[in-house]
Amino acid sequence: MHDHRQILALAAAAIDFELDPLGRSQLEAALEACPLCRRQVSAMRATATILRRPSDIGTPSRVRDVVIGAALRGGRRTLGLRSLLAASLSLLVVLGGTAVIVGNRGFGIVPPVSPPASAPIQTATAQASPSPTASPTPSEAQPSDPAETAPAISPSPGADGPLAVGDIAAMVTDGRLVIRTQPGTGADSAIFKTKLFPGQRVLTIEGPVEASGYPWFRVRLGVIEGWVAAASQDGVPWLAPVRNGLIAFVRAAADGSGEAIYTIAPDATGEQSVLLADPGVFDYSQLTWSPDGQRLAFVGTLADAVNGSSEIFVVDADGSNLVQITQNEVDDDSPAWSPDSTQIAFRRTELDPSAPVDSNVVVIGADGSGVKLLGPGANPVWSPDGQQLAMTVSGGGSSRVWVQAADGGDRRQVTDVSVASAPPSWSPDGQHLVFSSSGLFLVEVASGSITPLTAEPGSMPTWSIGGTIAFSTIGSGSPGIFLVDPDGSGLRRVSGDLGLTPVPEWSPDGRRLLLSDEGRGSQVGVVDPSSGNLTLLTEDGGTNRSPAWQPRLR
Amino acid sequence: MPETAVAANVVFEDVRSRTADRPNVVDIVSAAYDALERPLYAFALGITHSGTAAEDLVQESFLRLVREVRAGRPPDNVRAWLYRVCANLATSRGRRATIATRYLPFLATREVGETPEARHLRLELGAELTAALADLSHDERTGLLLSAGGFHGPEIADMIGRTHGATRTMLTRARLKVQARLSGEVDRRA
Repeated sequence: MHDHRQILALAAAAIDFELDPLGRSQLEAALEACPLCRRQVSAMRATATILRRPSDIGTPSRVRDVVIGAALRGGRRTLGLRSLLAASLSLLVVLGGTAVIVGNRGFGIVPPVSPPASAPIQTATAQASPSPTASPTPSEAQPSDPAETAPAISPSPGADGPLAVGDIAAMVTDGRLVIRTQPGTGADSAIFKTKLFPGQRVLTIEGPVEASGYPWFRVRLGVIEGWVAAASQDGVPWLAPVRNGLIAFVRAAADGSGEAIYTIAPDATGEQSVLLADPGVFDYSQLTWSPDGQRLAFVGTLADAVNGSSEIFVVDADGSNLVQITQNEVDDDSPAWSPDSTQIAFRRTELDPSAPVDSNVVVIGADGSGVKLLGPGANPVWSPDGQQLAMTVSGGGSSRVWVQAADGGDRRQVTDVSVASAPPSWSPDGQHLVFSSSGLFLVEVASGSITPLTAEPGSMPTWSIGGTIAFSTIGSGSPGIFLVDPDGSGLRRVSGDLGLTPVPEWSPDGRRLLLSDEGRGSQVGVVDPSSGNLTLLTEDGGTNRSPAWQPRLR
Repeated sequence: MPETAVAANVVFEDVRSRTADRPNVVDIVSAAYDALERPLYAFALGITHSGTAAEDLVQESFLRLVREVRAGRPPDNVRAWLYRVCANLATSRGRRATIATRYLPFLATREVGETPEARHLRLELGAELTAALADLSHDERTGLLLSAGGFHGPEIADMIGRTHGATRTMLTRARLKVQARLSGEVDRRA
């Protein structure tokens, strides 16, 4: 009689290469004598054979990119000081050089590379301005001059053509769009965990390619590059090119008769028209278009408000359907649309100086429904996927960057670095924030890792979908608009001296910059970063402020 | 040792010899990645039964290799080192469930249709064997898969932090459990 379990244990040891010659002999003899053991050991060996089969699948190429990228980088943080010094030196050289060339003369342009003798400056030949009390005129987006929209990023598409390589595209369907490693829905096309959410923007870099019955575009989202189906099999668009619409701004009449919100085409050739002139509202400010370009939010004060508190209003793009979405006796301002255009985050400030909190961040439906208090904070900014909000939170005499889930949970401080009380800007993939402090800094949202971008003062940073960061140098000896790449390289100036407090904003198509002055309020201009060409949209000497560039998605 | 493992070590030794005078992190890591990524992924997949988790483990293992090589501490046996790290990370993952969160959003997942890992488990292991492996404890499963990867008892014991004797007992028990679960029928294709 032999012990079956002992024989099986010997067989297991043999499979694991741990049986000595004596044991092997003992095993073979037992198997010869016992059909039951023979059958069971045979099955055990078969199992081991199956487990030893080489695999024919691996991880997606993205994993390899991350690993090899880490090997190539050689330790990004150790290069931080070098990058900082290089960026600082570059900034000082550029600042100094430009100051010598241009001087401090208000709006002027020095092209970033190979400056011509005099860069062209167009001034809007504004036609007779309608009376601020004129009835709202339906606004119609004007096609941009293709010559003016020379791409700063990639090949130029048609102004109104279908989605093409180089376009910024927005997700225009519900649900989620997955980013795949290859076009098509086959099993060999893995899905990146990062997905697109309604309204989210991507940069198209290749396509279209037909596969599995869908048109596919290769898109870039921060460091991620992958393929996305741009339409359904029936041709219903899921990604739409983002074009430049009209520019809205606030103009206060020179004769003091009032103010109104105007629109003008970005090439300044379109007729300026009144979008909204409501005698019941004044102090228009902080204009911001919904990401779908259908509505405009702004801050205003009701003429009959008892304590002069500011409220948030929303009006349709044609000037109709003015809705006051907040109504109380506290200040509501800093409206920020969610990427899907359904919600607005804003700052609510108690007018009572004894209030325990300076200000709170609140989220409200774009129709005024569903008010949700997130907590203390200011300068709310939605993440590109609309799942989180970044904000500044003051305490102890300084402010820090915080991030909070849009549903009100998961609130946390991102970095200990003290920040300026200005909105940070998200990277296209939502992995980083750029904010201004003593200079510009990047912070990785997940880890809190800080990377300095510039040592000189920089403020109002804004991150394009194409990846470039624009900022102004308020407080320097030569304030202007600069661009810098997220790794600290490619620092260049794209404007001449700007004597006021310029606030840059990327055009919806990511190819131009809208310049404004949130200080005294004077002029609004558009600059092409690739050439330095500036187009002034508003009359010199006027009081124009709070411009916002309308996206057009179809 | 399986042929793939031998080939991997040959490749790696070749790179080391070529870069002996001028260690090149990229050369070393890319050679190791090209040779070992697939078997390591299969190993991680077998442990976790999750394509997403397996990718996390593979990526984090190789990122740690990058750090070691850059720090001038390239492991003598990269293959064994990677499997050990991967197994340790998988153990840690069971406790913390957060591996390589910094890169999580960039990794690929597969959520529609028949996924590659589902295909791998179905075709290469068989549904019954997959279920049998899932019934094992983490250490038992890890041990069996390390053995399938060509590692010997003492190496496996070292990797999972047990004595050789305890590991021997554990592996035997694991194999018996699997066979009991399979009821003598391994796989129709076996």
